[in-house]
Amino acid sequence: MRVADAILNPYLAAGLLAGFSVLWIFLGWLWGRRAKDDLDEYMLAGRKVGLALGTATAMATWVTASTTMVAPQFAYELGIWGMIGYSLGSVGLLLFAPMARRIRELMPTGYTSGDFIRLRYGNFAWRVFLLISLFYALGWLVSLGMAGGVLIQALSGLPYHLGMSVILASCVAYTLLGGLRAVIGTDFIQTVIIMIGIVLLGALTITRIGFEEIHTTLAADRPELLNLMMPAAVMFLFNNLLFGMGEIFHSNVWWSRAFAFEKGVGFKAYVLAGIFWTPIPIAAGFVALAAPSLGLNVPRSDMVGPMIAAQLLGTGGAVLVFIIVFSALASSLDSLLAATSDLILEDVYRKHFRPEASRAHLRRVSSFIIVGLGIFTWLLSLPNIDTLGRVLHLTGAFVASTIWPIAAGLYWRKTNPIGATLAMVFGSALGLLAYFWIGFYVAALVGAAVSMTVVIATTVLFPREFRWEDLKE
Amino acid sequence: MRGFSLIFSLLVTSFAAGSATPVAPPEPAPDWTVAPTSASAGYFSLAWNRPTRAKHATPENYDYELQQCATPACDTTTEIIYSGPDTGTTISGQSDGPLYYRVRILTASNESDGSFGNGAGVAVWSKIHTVHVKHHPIGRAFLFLFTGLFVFLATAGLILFGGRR
Repeated sequence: MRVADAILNPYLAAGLLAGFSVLWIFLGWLWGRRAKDDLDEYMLAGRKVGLALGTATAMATWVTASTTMVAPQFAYELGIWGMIGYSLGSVGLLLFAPMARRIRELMPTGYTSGDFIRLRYGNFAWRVFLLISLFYALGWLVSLGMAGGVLIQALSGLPYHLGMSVILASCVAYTLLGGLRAVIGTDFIQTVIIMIGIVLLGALTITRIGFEEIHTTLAADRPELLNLMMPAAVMFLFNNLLFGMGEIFHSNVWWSRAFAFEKGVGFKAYVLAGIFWTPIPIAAGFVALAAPSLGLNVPRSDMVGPMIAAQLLGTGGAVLVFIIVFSALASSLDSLLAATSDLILEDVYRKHFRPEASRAHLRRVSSFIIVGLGIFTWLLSLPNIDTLGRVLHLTGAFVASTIWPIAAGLYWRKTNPIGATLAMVFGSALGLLAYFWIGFYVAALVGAAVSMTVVIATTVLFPREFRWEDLKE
Repeated sequence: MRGFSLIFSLLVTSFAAGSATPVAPPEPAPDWTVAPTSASAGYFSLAWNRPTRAKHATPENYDYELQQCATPACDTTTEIIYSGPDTGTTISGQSDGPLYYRVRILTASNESDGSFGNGAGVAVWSKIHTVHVKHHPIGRAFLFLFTGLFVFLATAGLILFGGRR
């Protein structure tokens, strides 16, 4: 869709894109030198990540394109509850804190979330889990790739495909060069940029337009955005919380960090990251409510955040948003590329095809997997099929169905493999039906509720004792 | 300047042919869609485009005008809610009830300042699209709210107290 007024000069946008791409790739090369041949260094940063870097990487990874672009989208579509509901995504981080401690205790030498499911529930449940996890990872990767293209197009008028391609290529390049050490190092810098940028943006928006003006216009033109009883928004509230929990509980992005953090760091890092993350979607989402006051046309609701910032704050605002979102995109894309390649390497390649492969061989294969993932994501992002929020929430039913199999598997000895598998299958299926029959805002909720019911029922009716020692492979 | 050139060339052609008034070719009504036509969350998107079946060349400059009407026939009160080059809009926060929209193309008119106007370059209106906003029943919303709250509390309880067994 054509956007009336591109705020950022295309040459300036291209310069920023090139400049930050070079910076991230250089840092990836710099921090990745130590991990050149060592698989543990490359995949898990030597398992020695401290509190400051641990907190920053957890937070930066969770501040995704979704936070900076989908939070405004949901505020624009669902009003007050849209942005508050989005901020409830922090609950997933907070609840993963005790889980990270337990994961580290039970599996001190583990590599992936797939390792846990395989050892806890056996091969069939593991393969179902892998399908869900890889589907989610691709959905998230595509939504991030699309976000890059949409952002550049909204701000500068540069073609969608150009922005999407350059952002994907630079993230693939520095993840390839540096592994998890580079991902965590760049995450730290990106977190600082994101936090300063969002605070600045929120303050500037309030001083330029003011609460009263925003409220008056919304009350007249978009009354439901202020309605705390708006049905879809009420339904969305816990859906987003459970979606966030499902994303974090199952995804290897978070498990790989639990394995990479130094002993005792995981709990504190995830709690701090959750606390610091909570206000970010509210600050980012709030600006979207200014759209009617500005008389701004919003062709696509996922473009509303960058468009308003650019409209309100001119070229400086556009540059600021560009840097914030590019940092948020990069911090999530790199983590996801690294964690998904770990999952494919360990759970698909090594466990299924080459169990005897040497560590040096696996290290080489991991590079090919990262490049392959980048290319696959690029191909899927080309059509730019839907808004970011809906692409991402399509995966909600699947990931939410893993919450109970994982949590019960970590804390209950008696949960059995068949119950865990059925919970994932039925949770995903019914959640998906809810997505199409009712709306994206209930898919995760239905998936989680069905999965929980199945896990509890099968644990009570068909208990099977499990020995925690069997998790230490 | 472009408008002036266009007017000049049209005038010359008209005089040469001996006709009295230059008339810009009428623009066809834009093609357009609305999704969803029944909005249960109060938001929906409208998208439009200059139709490919248009017989004459694409004008150098053209905008779209989107109107919201008070009646299904758009014969009484109307409000211009967008005028510009974008080819879509997303409207949110609407209360229950039907909403009516139509769109048209505006090309450069023969006004002296070259601005867009309502002269010969104005196209016919598109067909009127109706969007029915009907929010979910509040009872259904609370059913999902409390189900979500229950699942959340149960999960938090499992994680916070499960390890003590």
